[in-house]
Formats: sequence, C-alpha cells, structure tokens
Amino acid sequence: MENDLSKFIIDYLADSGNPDKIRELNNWLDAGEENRRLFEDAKRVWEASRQLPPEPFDMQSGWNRLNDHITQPAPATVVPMKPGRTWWKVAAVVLPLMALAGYWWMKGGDGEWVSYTAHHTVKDSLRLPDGSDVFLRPGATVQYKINNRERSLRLTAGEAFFKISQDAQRQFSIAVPKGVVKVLGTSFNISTSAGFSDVTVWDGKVSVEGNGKKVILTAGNMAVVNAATGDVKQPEGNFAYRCGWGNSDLSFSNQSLQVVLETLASYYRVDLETNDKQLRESRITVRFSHMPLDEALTVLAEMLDLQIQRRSDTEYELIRK
Amino acid sequence: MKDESLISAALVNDALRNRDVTVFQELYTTYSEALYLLAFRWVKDSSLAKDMVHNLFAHLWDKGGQIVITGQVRNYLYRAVTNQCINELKRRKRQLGDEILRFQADGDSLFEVSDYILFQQELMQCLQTLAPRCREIFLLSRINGLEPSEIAEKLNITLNTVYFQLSVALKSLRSQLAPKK
Repeated sequence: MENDLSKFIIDYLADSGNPDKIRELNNWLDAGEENRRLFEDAKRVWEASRQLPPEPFDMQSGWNRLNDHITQPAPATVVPMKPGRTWWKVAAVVLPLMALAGYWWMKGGDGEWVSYTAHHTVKDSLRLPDGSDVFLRPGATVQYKINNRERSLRLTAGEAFFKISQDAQRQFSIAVPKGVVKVLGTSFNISTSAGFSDVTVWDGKVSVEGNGKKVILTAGNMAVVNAATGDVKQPEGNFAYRCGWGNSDLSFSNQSLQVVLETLASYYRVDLETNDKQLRESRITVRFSHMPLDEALTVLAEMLDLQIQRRSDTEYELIRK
Repeated sequence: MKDESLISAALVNDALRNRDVTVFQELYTTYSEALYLLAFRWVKDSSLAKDMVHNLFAHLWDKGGQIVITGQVRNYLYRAVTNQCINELKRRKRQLGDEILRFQADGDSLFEVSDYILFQQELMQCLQTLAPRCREIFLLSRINGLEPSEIAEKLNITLNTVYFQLSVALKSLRSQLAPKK
C-alpha cells in the first residue's frame, strides 16, 4: 500500500495531466477507503508545505527586538516600516533570491562578522570555518562571515592569497573596494591598495565584478579593480607568479627577469640586483616550487648562464658570465 | 509549544496594566510563532510577517491598561494580527485575498485558522526529522517553488532522484502528521 502511494505520488508529480495515469490513480483510490485516506493526507501535506514561510520564526531575536522596545523610556507607538511605494520593487528583487532563502530551514542562524589582522612578520595563515585557507601579508585585514548559508569575506587592506575549499552550494564571495570576487573553490591572490585591487588566479575560475562589469578569470589571469570607480581591467599576460608568496610556488611564464627578481626578492626577503639592463629585460619561463633560496638562485644561474655574487647574507648580484 | 490554558485574559490584562515583563514575555513565547505563521499566510512576506507580530506586541505593551481582552487570549491575538495585516495590505494598496476577508467576517473560521497554524507548526517540526538531502529537495520544491527538473539541474542529480526523494519526504511527513486514531 505504501509502495503504491509512492508510485502514484511520483506519477502525479511527473505528469499529472496524463489520462492513463489519472485513470490508474482513480482506480486505486476507488479500491479502498484506506487508499483514499492515504492520498488525501499526502496531498494535504503537499499543499500545506507550500504555505510555509521561507524562514522559521526566530523567537529569540524577535523577543530581543521587543524587549528593546519595551525598555525604552518613552515608548514610541509605531515601528517604522519600509515605505509602501518601494515595496514591489523590493519584492521583485527578493523573489529570485528565494532559492537561497530556503536554506534557512536547513540550519538558520546568522553568523557575525569576524575580523582578523595579520601581525606575523612574514606570512600569517588563517583557517576559516569552511576549511578554506587564507594567507595574509603583514598588515592585511579581513573580515569574514561563514555560516551554513553563506561564505562572505571582505579584504579591507593589504594582500592575501586564498585557497577556497570546494562547495557548490555556497559561493565564496570577497568584497574589495568597489568590486566583488566570487568563486566556488579555487586558489587566487588579491592585493588591495588605496587606488586599486588586483586579483590573480592560481587555479580554477574566479569572477570579478565592479561597476556593472564582470570578467571571468582562469589560471594566470589577472583583473584590476579601480577602488574609486569600480572599473575592471584585465591586462594581458600570465601573472601566476603573483600568487607565489602565498602558496610557496613561484611560477613565471614568459616573464621579464626584472619581475622575477623583484618577486623572488620579496618572497625570500633579500636584495637581488643586476646592473645589466639587457639581462633585466630578458624573458624566462621558470617555476620555483617550495625551493630554498640557494637552489632557486642556482636554477636561475644555470638557465641564464649567470654568476651570482653574494655581497652579504641578504644581498646578491647577478652578472652574466 | 507552550500550554495556552495557563494564560487567561484576566492575567494578561493585569500584566499589561502593571507592566509585568515576565507575564508579557510568557505571552510572547506562547503565541509569537503562531502569529508569525498566521501573518505570513496573509501577507506572504516573512519579514513583513515578523514586523506584524512585533507591532502587535509593541502595541499591546504601549497601550498598557487601555486594552481589555475579553474571551480567549488566542482568539483575540489571531484577530488582532489579522486586522493589522489587513491594514498594512490596504496601506500598500495590495489586493486582499478571499481567505483573509472570510476570516475577518466569519467567526467559525477561527477553528480553521487554529487548525492551519497547528498543522504548520507540526509540519515544521517534522521537517527536521527528514534526512538533510531529502529535506533540501523538499524545501526547494515547496518553499522555493522550483520544478523537479530545476532542482535536478541545480543539485546536479537525476530527475528520478528528485521524484524519489520528494515521495520519500511526503510519505514520511504524511505518516507523522496523519490524524492519530
């Protein structure tokens, strides 16, 4: 009997207009009072559940709000509500968002924004509640709110490298001044300064939005968001190396030695210099993955046929042989 | 749900006059969820429904001793929140549904409304007993109004799985909610 019920439910959902199915259903319903009762009960649940609000009632926050009201010294009689004229506009926006609102029921409860500023002198790492990792340069500040419905983060200052854990249900969004970066699961770097934020992707796909424009970035791509206007620009080239400091994997693709040296110097916290202008402008493709400085310099020397002179613990000069 | 019988009209009237927060909170805890569900039924907007419940209780508190509830507290509150919803819907120049007008006009419809609220409350509790994936699919279908094919696409599962999970949810809810014999 129960199995019959589930078959008819499925038929009804799949194709309620099919005359054969309707006849079959009617025959089944006529076969016994019990069948009819089962079906009516199920139908009642089906209809009633459509009337459930998208979020359950949060009694605690409701009481808190009321308590604020009743403990006011001079009680106001009316609580301000959204102006009537804009109501439909709001509704129009809210409706498409309903698909997300349903997740309320699964867990509910709003998280608070949590703030974190990197204090370590080299690199701070932060494991977020969803399993994502954030590596922060000194001084970088993030605020995040991770709960069962959303994964949101704001990078308010500095530079950070993100390894976002996969979660197809919850997009990870990162707000930078005048722009927003959205991902599902990937790793990428964001650097924020007063004038610009730049986003560089290590792997996966990332969308960057600002001022009504949206670009999709894949590995090695970079986008720059203007902090004043929100304009998004996408310079040509492979910028994967910009992620290197974060994941200890410095990867350069047809990059000028100038950039390579600056990046290595910043990563290993040394000075790497050369007076040879032609050498500085030569382009190389090379990758240093979790490599100590000595080894990295040996690789460079081999590739470009260089001699590396050590001036002090932190100063090196590159000279062509 | 709390036991409504403990809160009599006389108790509430006294509490409002004497500004007794303890009893007032008891009143709120007992009825706020039911009133939210009823308000949502009328206005179809959960945040507005929340406002309606808040405004009703704020009004009760502010008016204090001027309000005298006669008869059942529950009936009074259901009527009051419904009237608030009607006023708000009118203010927003929205169409009043047949149901709300019938409830306003007809004393007997109170039973139907009480049944409705009770059923919704039980339904909400039973939803928590469903397996997470099953509940998610059921809610996407019923609350968010997605078609089975849309759910299949969104969750990247087959259409048959969606039908199957919906029937599992429905059967489980039905057996829990069926009138006890």
